[in-house]
Amino acid sequence: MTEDVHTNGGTDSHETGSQDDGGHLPPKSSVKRWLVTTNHKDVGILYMITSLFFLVFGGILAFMIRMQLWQSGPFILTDLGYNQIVTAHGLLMVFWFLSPFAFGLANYLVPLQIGADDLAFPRLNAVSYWLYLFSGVLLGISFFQGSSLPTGWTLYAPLNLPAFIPPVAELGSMSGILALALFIASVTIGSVNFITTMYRMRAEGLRMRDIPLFSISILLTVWMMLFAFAALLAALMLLSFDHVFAGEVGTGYFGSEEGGSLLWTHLFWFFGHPEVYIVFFPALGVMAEVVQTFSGRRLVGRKWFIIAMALVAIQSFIVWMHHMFLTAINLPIKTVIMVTTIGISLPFDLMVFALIYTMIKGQVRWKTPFLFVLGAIVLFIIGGITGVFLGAIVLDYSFRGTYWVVAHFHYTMASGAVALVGGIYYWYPKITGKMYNEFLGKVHFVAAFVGFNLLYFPMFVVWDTPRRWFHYSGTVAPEIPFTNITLFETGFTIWHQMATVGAFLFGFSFLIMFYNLFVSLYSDRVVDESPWAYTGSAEWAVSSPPPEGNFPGTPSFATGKLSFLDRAETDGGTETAATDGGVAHAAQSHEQHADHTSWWPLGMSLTALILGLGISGLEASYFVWPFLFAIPAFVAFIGIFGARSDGYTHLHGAFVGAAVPLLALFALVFHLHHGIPGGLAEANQYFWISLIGITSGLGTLVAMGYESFHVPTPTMSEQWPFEGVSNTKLGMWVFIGSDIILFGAFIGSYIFMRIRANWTQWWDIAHNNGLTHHPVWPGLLNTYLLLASSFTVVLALAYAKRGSRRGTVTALSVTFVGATLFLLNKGIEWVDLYIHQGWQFDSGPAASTFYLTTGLHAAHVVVGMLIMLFLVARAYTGAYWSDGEDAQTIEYFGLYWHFVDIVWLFLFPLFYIL
Amino acid sequence: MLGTGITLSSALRHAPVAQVDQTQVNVFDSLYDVFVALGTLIGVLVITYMVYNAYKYRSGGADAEGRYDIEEEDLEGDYDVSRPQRGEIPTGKGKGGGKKLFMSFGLSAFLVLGLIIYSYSLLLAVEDTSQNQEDALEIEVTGYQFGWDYEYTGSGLESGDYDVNIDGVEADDDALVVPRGEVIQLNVTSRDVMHNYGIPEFRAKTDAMPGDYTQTWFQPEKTGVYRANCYELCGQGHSNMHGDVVVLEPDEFRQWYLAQDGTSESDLEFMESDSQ
Amino acid sequence: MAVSTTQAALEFVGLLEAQYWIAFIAILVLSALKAVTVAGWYMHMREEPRAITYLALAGLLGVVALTAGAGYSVL
Ligand code: HEM
Ligand SMILES: [Cu+2]
Repeated sequence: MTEDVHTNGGTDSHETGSQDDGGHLPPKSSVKRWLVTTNHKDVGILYMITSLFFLVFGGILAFMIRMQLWQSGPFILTDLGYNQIVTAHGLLMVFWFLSPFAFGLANYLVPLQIGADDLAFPRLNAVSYWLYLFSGVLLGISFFQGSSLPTGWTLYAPLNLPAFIPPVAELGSMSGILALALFIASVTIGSVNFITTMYRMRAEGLRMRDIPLFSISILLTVWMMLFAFAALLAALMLLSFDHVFAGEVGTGYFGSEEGGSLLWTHLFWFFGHPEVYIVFFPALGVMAEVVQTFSGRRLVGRKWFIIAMALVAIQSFIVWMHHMFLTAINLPIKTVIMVTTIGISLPFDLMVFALIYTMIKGQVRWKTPFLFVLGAIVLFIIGGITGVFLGAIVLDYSFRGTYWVVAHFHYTMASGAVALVGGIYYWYPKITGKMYNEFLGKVHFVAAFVGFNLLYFPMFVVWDTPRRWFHYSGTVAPEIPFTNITLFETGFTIWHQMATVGAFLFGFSFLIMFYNLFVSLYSDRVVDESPWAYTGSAEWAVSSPPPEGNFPGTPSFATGKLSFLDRAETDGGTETAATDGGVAHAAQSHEQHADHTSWWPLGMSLTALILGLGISGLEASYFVWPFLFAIPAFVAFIGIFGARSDGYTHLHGAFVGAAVPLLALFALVFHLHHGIPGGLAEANQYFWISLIGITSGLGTLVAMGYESFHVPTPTMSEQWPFEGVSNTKLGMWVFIGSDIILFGAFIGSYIFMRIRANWTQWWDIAHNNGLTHHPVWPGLLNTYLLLASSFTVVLALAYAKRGSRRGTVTALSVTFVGATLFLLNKGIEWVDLYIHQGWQFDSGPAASTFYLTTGLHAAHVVVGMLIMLFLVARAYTGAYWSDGEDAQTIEYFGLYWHFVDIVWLFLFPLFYIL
Repeated sequence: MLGTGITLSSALRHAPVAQVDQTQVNVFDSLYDVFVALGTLIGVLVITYMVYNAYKYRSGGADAEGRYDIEEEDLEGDYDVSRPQRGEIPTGKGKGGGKKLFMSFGLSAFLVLGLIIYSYSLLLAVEDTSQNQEDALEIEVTGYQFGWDYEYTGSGLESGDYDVNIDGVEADDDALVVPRGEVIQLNVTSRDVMHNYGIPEFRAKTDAMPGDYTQTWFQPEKTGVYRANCYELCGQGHSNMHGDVVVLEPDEFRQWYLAQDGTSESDLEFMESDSQ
Repeated sequence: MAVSTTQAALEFVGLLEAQYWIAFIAILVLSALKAVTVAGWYMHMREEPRAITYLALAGLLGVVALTAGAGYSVL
């Protein structure tokens, strides 16, 4: 729920403001620059360095795993230690290394490749980065809370519940889950940013299909990210709920006998399968770019390559059950999934052939980037073929849960990593202006390639080893195919020892890279625009490293070739749009300097880390309190920051004033519950950490909203297919797209459980579980309330457009009141159901699905209300209505609010009538 | 999509090819060999082809220090290829190259589909036995942290109620004891977290999920003591979670089984019908 | 607006135990109608480029795939 506050807050609460804190970047040698920068190239570099740090972190864990496997049975790790390390290694490599490594390149290159000055929302881009970093820090912290997650990266239920997690690991597990949630917040913001940028900010004349292949691969990746991660977020929210409220009994959502375990696998793999392509797609883009350049030939069948990628991206959402062939799903659905799975391997096959055919008749130079990409294609071919084995269900029945799977996905994933390393060598001269050392690069390749195969090929031989086992002796000895000859009577040990040796070779080969890249920075191998022959895309047409503003003039492809138009001429027409962080005051709005720095992304993400840490140890009975106590603070912040930025008015006074009784009210309720002196004394330190985290978090959000952050939008850009939709509006819509999946996953889980339990007897079951009476009218009343409040938002927009201050403020306030009534009504209903009837969160599946799904909706309403408070304060001092352009902000908020309304239109029948 | 699944699974089920009478071990071994052979062949071919071409069309002349690349040459007319040019729109005059691409695509599609249809028919055979087996020894397997409990469905004989003191057999008392040559039908579930029950020697494997039952079967063809492993991370004891599976000659089995409390001849009817 | 509210009221009356599946479909169709109205007019979907609609539909399609797949797998 917290990251929801952030994403929403991030997307729509940042409106206008006036105080100006410089906006110019400090020099690169200054530490401050790296803390405040919002420049996409800086952020890209931060991403790359951070992800390499996590590579080392995950790599050290991998060494520990391989050492443990040197011999069968106990060696250097305990059982719990081994499980933790296997889990953290998987999570770190997939989430915190591979994807962000690719997004470092993407951050740096995509704007350059499409001819944009920066991303659409530079400040949110910085937020993405800092959230990413701090989410990883939180995962690191979890090791110091006793034990990190010991469940495997797939977090299968119900092993992921408190009932089955050893007490020592409970805190750390919760931190791990929250770290993932923070990571998703980062990813979602990033996806919104990239999608908006790529559709709306291309250089003139550059059609969508014309953008370079790396950028295309990133575009498809962010689409998959947007949808897939929302499903994982849903699963994690439900899981967090189980952790906090279902407690030791373990009968919440995923502990439910009504298919809770199966439900987790559905939700996880609906995310998980797209995720494996998410980590691989950027590498495909790198492969295409590098093969083109080093073969001196345009990609053969470029169009088909792109179509194949798009097909795979779409199809990736309908193959997830191939990870579940041995679960309780039925045969017809397995058959469908087998067909789609095999179907998805064919477009990949086409892509590989396109890459190979491009080399033919080329002028192939075997330089380091090319070597890495060639190696990556080899690994991918092996990984892909062994994947087809897994797609054949009968074979998968035996491979499932063995080292065959481990070897398969390491071949595919490492293929991605190796290609990205090739990409790093390829673009290193562009980013640094210096050439790396070619000899060392080649040595790195040879060591890595040999090391990798020595590490993973033996796993195919001893594939009968059960996964995540280190007592592997006694498993069947491998035979040579077609014969009954057993290899090495000694069993599995020697093969695992080979793998361990390979692991060290592979790992240490990266030291060569670190050394090479570092030393080359200080070499005299200075390069010009393009050190490579046959480069095509726009980043090679500017100096290395590119200038701060990316291009010497406004880039344009109007003539069919890249040219730079005179800035002065084209910039005259730059319009001021309310993009990220909004517009300066009306008076200044024609001053054309763009802002490039802000402290708030760092600050806000830091508070998110604090909050995450706090929640990890928050007890159920204290759970809501930090959030409630933060609300008065939020109201006061709006008053204070608003007065500072827009000049003091009575409304600001009223806001600050209202905070006091509000706090008193919450304090009173708290007193009735826990008793103020005793309750506070008993609260553990996590209560205080959460309180600090959420309060300062809301504070930074308000501050960010009031910060003036000016981003000029180019007028000449190519915007198909979103012409006429401003960047912020498109961003909002894209965000709603991911919210559809979030809610959809909640509703889908409900439908799944209900089908599993018997659809028509659902309420009978609920009655057996303690429900006596579940009236329809509170839901109906709330439907009226929400529809009406939607209507008043429409009115607010109309008034704002007409320039009426009173109308705007009144309509917004009425909406706020409507929302308050909605919550009040819901509160009364819940008290009746929960307390009077005793139908509690874990009173069976009907109860948990009802409370959680409508609860998520209520949380959305609360977030909307907080934003409304901000809007009212701003409207009161003249925003939105006094300047016609500005009214759009209300429209953006309206989109969110109407969406929340629409969701309710479905929740009402599903949870009240049917 | 769903339609396809239902049609395929019901249509092929009655195809003659589905009537193979094989154990899971045979099915797996033969299919695995086919996949390994073809997979290796294709893999080696494609990789060789790629590396060969990358080598054949290599271009020397780059600066040895690696600082500069080769000079771009204008090869227009030499080959029917288009070279990337800086700042171009890449979709311009590119030659499609589509035909060759689709040839190889079609070829591999044909191969893969063939393989899959073949493997699917075997799957149906495997599933059929698992669902429509009347002459089978039915056993309910319940996973727990960290071991397996068995219940012989016919008599209700359970782990803990029996011991495995058989001459010449070294196995724990919580072992599964079965007769050689019979189809053993397993109904698998779990009492706590998710496990996965698998006997690698007999290629039987299925998830053990709390609240759900899944099925698998095997037909042991040799006597001896084998292992049933857990293939799904299930907690701290996962790495060491395995139990014994004892396969006895039918007569020995009969003797052992009838020596346990509460069992009777009638539970063993499945063995009679077989020998006729 | 007024239409939507009366529809909501109708749903309440439409809760006929006897014809569960007919009522089921009718109720969901009514909900969908209201949703389309809100999206089309309040959210200005009608006036925006068609691509916005496709975006929302893509999300919806994902949800349908998940729900249908998961639901069907345990039928
Ligand atoms: C070429 C087509 C591919 C096919 C047909 C395929 C098929 C499969 C199948 C059926 C499984 C499930 C195995 C099991 O658990 O029993 C699997 C697992 C996996 N695949 Fe692939 N795969 C392909 C490509 C890829 C690619 C490109 C990636 C990522 C770069 C990938 C990453 C993974 C991962 C990470 C897992 C294991 C997840 C886990 O259980 O932890 N696969 N694959
Ligand atoms: Cu998959």
